Amino acid sequence: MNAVAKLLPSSAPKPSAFVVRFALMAVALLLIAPMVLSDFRLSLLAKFLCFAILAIGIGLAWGQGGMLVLGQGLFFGLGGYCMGMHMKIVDAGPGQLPDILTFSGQHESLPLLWVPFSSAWFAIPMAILLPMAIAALLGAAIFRQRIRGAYFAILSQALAGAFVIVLVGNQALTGGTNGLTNFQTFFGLSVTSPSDQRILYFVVAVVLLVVFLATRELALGRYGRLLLAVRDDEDRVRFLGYDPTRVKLVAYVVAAGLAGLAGALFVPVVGIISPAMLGIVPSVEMVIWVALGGRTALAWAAAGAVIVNTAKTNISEQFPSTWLYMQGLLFVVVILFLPKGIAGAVENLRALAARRQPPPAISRLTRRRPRAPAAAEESV
Amino acid sequence: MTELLKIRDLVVAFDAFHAIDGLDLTLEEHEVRFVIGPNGAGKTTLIDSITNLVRPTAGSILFAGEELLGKSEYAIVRTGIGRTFQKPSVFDELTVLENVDIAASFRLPFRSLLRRRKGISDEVAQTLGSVNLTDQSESPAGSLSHGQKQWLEVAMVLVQRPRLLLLDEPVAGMTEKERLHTGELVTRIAAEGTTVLVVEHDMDFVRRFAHKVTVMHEGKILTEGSVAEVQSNETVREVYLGRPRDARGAAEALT
Amino acid sequence: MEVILNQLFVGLSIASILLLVALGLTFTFGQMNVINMAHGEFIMAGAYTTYVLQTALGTGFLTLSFGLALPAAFLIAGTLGLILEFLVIRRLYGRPLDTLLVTWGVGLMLQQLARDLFGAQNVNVSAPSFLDGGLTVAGVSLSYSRMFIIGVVLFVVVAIALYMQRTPAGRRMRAVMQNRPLASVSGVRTRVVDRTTFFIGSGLAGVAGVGITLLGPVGPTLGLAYLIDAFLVVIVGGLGQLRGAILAALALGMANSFIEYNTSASIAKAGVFLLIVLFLQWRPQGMVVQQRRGLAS
Ligand SMILES: Nc1ncnc2c1ncn2[C@@H]1O[C@H](COP(=O)(O)OP(=O)(O)O)[C@@H](O)[C@H]1O
Ligand SMILES: [Mg+2]
Repeated sequence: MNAVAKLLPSSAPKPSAFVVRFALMAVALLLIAPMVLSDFRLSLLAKFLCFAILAIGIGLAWGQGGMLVLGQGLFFGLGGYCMGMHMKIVDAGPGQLPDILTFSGQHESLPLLWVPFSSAWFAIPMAILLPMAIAALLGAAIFRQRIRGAYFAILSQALAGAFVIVLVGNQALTGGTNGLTNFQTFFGLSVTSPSDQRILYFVVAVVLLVVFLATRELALGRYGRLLLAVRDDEDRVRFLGYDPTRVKLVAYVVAAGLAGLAGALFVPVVGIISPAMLGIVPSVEMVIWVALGGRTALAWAAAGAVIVNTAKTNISEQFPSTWLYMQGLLFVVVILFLPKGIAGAVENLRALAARRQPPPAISRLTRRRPRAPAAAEESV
Repeated sequence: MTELLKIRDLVVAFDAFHAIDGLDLTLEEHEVRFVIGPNGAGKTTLIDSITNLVRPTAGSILFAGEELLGKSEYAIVRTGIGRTFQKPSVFDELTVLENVDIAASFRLPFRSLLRRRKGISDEVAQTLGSVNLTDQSESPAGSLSHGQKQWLEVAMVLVQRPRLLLLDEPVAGMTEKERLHTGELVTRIAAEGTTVLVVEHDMDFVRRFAHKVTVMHEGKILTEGSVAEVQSNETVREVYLGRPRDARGAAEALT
Repeated sequence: MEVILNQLFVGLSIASILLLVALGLTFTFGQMNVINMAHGEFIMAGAYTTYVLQTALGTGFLTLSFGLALPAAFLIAGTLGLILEFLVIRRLYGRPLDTLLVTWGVGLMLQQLARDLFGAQNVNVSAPSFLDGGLTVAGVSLSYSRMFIIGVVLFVVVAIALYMQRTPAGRRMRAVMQNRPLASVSGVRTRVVDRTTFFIGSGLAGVAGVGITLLGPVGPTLGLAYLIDAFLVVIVGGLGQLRGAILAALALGMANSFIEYNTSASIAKAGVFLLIVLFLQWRPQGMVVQQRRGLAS
């Protein structure tokens, strides 16, 4: 070690602080929530945790990489349908047609598209790999041509829109607007039994924790720094000898894979997957979860998904019309006044507590630049 | 000495306007070349076309015998050419250290980028020291002064150990002391064997640190020579002082 | 042959609506770098304006109410646009992706407002009697209402072209679009130009809304389907380009019409998307491009 290296502290946060926070999170998810929540609430939480997995992907692609992914519903749906098709086939039993396929009366035997999904060994990997493959194709075509910003956002959104139209238009194969529903079992678990739903909750929670840790490693690695650099100034990165297409592609493909994984878990937890959950409107909604939590902080992005969906469930049950106004207002208020989301607010409060009063220089800085520099590392 | 960079008949056209208009330039290995010329002469465009930021209309650019035209920006960097920008461009949201570190990692296989950085390599530490930024290494690059940003940018290219370094107005906006330091840095880089092309506006700086100077005007080479030769050149004076004479004709007369 | 002519006509009428919606988007995007997702709700506002006028004046005055709806929708949607610009968008200049999200939120609120005012169900707007029926030329049936829409769009395009080429205000608009700082130091009041552009662009969405009432029922989420397609027109046409928008709207309208005829609506959507991505491989900046200086400037 030379003098300089000794002089510098390691730039990662003190590992102990993170370990404590992570342990608290794990305890809350794996011990406290199952103890205090009713079966019904716990299964709702499981659904929100699926969304949280997807939100981590958006946090990586949008928060760290600056790619506004407006079509994540597409990947979520692909994951969901892959898993749903498999569960339908298993439910129907060997040699039988799933009910969805008998409704149309068009199919004598399992249609070709469905056949490989009889095998879990095909269906589960496909739930993740198919979204990744499509993201890779679209991303490569778009990023290579230096199409970015709003152009990319609109194109990703349009693809999600087209996907929904294809799903609805091929009712005999996909169940149309009703989607896939009426599931019975999931790998021996009964989808309708409360105790089996508890097991599913643990599966989802553990997957979320693992996904969070892995994505955080990615974001804290050199790759993560490079991704921030690309977000900051993609063209400059080229002149350091990197191909930004590749850098962006990795984040986009990972985000798509996580959305697919989330969709695959969502189906057994919720028991339905339908086009209404995947189109343009729900896809934009996914982004506001992350914006509210904090786009540059992965853990807060995940939390944002849980917070918004909890609020949505509680408010829209009682006042459906109010919720829609609130959701619209959420977009406006968060983006205008809380560009770094709750994470940013917490950070400011901490600074406030530390110095008694907010340093004017910093608050001015954050107001003008939504993504404030320094704390990027800490907040991941 | 061997030719490192050989530019022939280079033309860069923006619509009807030729920013570079049939330019020839040869750099020997280990040479330090200063390029001067009035505003709009095409100096930045010259660097831009070597690094493929603009696409030349015609001509050829050979680097160590290899044609650069048609290569992508990052591929050109990987053949061993580093550049800075007239407007300092560093990654404001990364720390100074991280800026230099990702620059230093550009030859690592992509897979190993996925891991976290462990400590600081000697090379990165040394480079930070050579531009006096050791104390700032944990600060976000956005918080640096203008001059420090320019140094950081130089550090980011230096740490990549390019064979050819292209500096676009490295001392613009620097204090006198900073200029001196930069000049010494350039001299040292060259002494270590890097070929350097410096585009500069500031004649004091050029007088102090340049040996061989190329003068550009209206997209062409006006003349080349030692500082003294260039300074005593009639046409160069006219171009700089803007006397009403057809500089295009003068350029043709000279080359 | 008849089939081809027929699909050409359908394509042309799709294209004309798309163009009307896309014009506002391409100018606000090209000039101010603002992505206005509430533009779809301005279409809806125009459509409901027609509905309200018709309800107020009664079925005896369909022609009058429809005639009034065109300017009224322009003014109402334009004013909504001005309010949006003043309250929200001017705080977000330089953050295009954030304008996208904020205006999406505004759009959601406007949709809900429409639901509360007019009900969640679609409402029907009757076409004035002079637009009933159509002509049959060489075996192709040309409905009057579609011809009327094409006519309105032709009128608008000519008006916009004249505005941009011939009037001082239009020249200022082009100046700001090409080089904002330069226009600003040359004494152009860019804020005024921006607001004017926003007003006109939003107003055109309202006019499009009036036209859309001729094609089907009116509902709170009417705008969204047109909005995304119109954004694709902007991407394919090239930012802020009148000529590009016209060409792209025609191309997308025709592609939609012909693919749909030969296959199905769902394949047409996916097919058109694929064509767009392929087209962007060839011309990433769209059909008509304006030169701008890149990184080093
Ligand atoms: N992208 C571009 N589009 C149009 N003109 C350009 C572009 N880039 C440079 N120019 C013009 O080319 C000429 C040379 O510019 P530049 O190389 O920046 O000059 P210098 O660096 O010598 O001051 C200038 O007249 C400039 O306006
Ligand atoms: Mg220059």
